[in-house]
Amino acid sequence: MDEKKLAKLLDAGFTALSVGFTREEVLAEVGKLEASGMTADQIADELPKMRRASSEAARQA
Amino acid sequence: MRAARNVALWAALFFWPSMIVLIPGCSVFTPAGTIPVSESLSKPAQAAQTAINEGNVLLIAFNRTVGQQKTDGIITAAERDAYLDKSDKLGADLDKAQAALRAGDLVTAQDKAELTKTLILALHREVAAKARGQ
Repeated sequence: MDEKKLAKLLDAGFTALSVGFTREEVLAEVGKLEASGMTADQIADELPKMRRASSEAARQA
Repeated sequence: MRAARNVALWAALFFWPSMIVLIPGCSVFTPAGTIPVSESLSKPAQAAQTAINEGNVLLIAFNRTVGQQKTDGIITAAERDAYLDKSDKLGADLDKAQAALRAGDLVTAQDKAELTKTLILALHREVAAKARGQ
């Protein structure tokens, strides 16, 4: 296999893993909310709050 | 190394929809069904709520990554603020979609949520392109 193909495959694999890091981190938090007894409606209310908090935190970075 | 990881992260944000195709059946990369939606809602309302929830999750991930990029010195404070302003605007659109859903306007809610998701992905693409130096 030539170097370029290998690099592309590695990139695709790393990309897939990175997707996991990003979305899974947030989804894990949603899972914790669900496990704590929050209903789907309450989670739907919570997500915009998490979104606003993440924006505020990023502005302080 | 950290900078390389961040570039890969932006690439991931850009490419994640294609990962769904590349890795079918892998729940980690499946956008739907990972966030609970009330079963008391009608099917169209559930679809709209799912789109809204997914949009919110994407924006949370986006905001956190933007903050990390600034911390790592990959983007400037001005760039961070510009990205976050765009993110906040898209978030406001999701809030409007949620309000439309609660008012029973399913068509508006679904349309707005789907359009917003598309715009969020376009924003991811823009930032990924910048991170790749294009």
